[in-house]
Amino acid sequence: MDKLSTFNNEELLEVYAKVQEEINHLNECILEEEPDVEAEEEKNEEVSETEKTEESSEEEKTEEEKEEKEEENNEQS
Amino acid sequence: MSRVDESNLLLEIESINDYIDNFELERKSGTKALKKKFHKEAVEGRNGYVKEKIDLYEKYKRILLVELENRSNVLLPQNKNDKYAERKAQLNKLQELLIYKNPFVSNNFRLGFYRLIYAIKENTSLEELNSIVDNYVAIFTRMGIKLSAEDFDYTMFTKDYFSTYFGSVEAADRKAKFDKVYWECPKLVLEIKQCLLAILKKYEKKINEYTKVHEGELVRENEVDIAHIEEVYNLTRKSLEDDIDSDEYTILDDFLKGNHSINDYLKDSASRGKIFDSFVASGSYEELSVDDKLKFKENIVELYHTLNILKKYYKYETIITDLVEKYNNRATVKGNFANLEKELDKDDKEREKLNKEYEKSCGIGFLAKESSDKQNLAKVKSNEIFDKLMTDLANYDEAKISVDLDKNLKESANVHDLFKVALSSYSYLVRTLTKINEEDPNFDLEKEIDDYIDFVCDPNGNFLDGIFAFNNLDITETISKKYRLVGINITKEKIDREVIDTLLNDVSLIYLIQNIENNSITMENIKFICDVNKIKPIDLSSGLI
Repeated sequence: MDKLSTFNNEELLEVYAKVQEEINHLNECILEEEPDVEAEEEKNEEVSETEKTEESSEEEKTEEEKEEKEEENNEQS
Repeated sequence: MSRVDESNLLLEIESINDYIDNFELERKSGTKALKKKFHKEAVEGRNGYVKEKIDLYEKYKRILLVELENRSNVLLPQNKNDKYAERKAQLNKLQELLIYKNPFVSNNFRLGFYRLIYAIKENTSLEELNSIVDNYVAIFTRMGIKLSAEDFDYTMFTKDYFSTYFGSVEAADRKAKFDKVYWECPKLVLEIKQCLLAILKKYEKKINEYTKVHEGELVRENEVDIAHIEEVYNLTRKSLEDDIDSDEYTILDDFLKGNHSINDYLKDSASRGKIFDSFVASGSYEELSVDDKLKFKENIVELYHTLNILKKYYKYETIITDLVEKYNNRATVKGNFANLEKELDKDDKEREKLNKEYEKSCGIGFLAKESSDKQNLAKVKSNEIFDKLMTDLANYDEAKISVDLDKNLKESANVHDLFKVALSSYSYLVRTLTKINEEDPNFDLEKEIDDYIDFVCDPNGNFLDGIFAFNNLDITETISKKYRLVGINITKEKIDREVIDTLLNDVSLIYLIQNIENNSITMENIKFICDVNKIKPIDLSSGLI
């Protein structure tokens, strides 16, 4: 950028306005990026596998709990 | 072309924008998948470039803001408000002396008694009332007089309340006693007010002696020759007001607060030119010679002050019309005044008699016998006589102002004399100012009294000395003619009560421009600071100097 001392007060305000205007313009220039379909799919697959593992482990847990309870009942009787 | 248009920055912006605009986002040949891939990568590439430039420009912005703030801070004027406050306090002391010199003002007014007493209204709270009495007693203490409950024997009710007031400083004790007495005497607050006035009569001689002593103290304190107090006061007030009006800090603060818009004040403003021209009799300010421009400036300063006085004159005009009417009817009123005085005297004697009867019925005095029936009867009669006394007092007060006018005024009196004479009756002033401000929900009597005294003492109002009060008065015609004679284009219609604000706004604009031109702060610098303020608000009070 130019040496600021070369501008008088009025010009410096003008420079500031130009910079602000360019920032606004640049922000408008940002394009929407398309989502990475392959990466998304891979991610989705990973998520569904994790969910499956979680579900099965939960099922295992409930079965274990059932067995424990049955054992307790047997012992009491 | 400005230096900004030729700057490297604009070249850089142009090149950035060119690069962005020409960034290839589409591939013309190849399969659909390839084209899609190309586009996706191109978008990412362009966005990366844009984001990099945003970061760079945000950095520029920060650097520029620091530079702008530094440059504006260098221009910020010094805050001299503390110094002005000191000078104002000094001026107030001189005003106190000026009031001492006003022959129409009573010593009770001068010493501050009336200010305290007339602040008491029927709905004054007990806390306020006690505070007023504290201050009242304190003035007597300064005079070397120690007041006691015995002094407050205006009625059996006031005596009863003040026996507790002087016996205990506990608010709860005082409240309990007040509540007890109140049921027997619902006008207790007003009786206390009358009681305070009666004590002043009792100590009148001592008050007069002390006033002289106090005046001497004030003269010594102010190191001023009392014979020239008016000149000293006028010079001090004018100099302070001029300094405040042209103070750079105050002017800038007004612009920053949005009280004025800087664009209306700049040389290239169309409205500014029109306003200047509208006051020039020949129609064009720019065509005036250098000498005539100087004269115009002086006349505008005078007109600015005159219009401000005229605006206040409109506010207090009812005082003039009322006093003129009272003066014209003085002969009739004077004839009846002796009767009113007699009636009031009779009421007072009756009140004193009832006080004695009450004491007797309490078993106090020679051969006195305690009787609760007689006590209650005295109380009932005391309430009755107080009501009558208040009615007679109102008539007496109303008539007294006419008698005072007869004593203090001549047919040749001017408008200023009438405003000064109004200070002779504090109760009249209170009644009139309350009526003038009856629609103001924020009415503050003490402030209004101060404003009125300020108006009466204002050296800019000296032109009122030249206007006879008993001639058929057309003040707008007198003022407009006077200014037309010096080439200032105003008509009586333009300074009429209803429209004076519009003209005053225009005169104030020229007055402010002249004050800025006489200063080291320029219009351009004010505009620059205001522009920086829009980007980042400047806190003048934080002392950025």
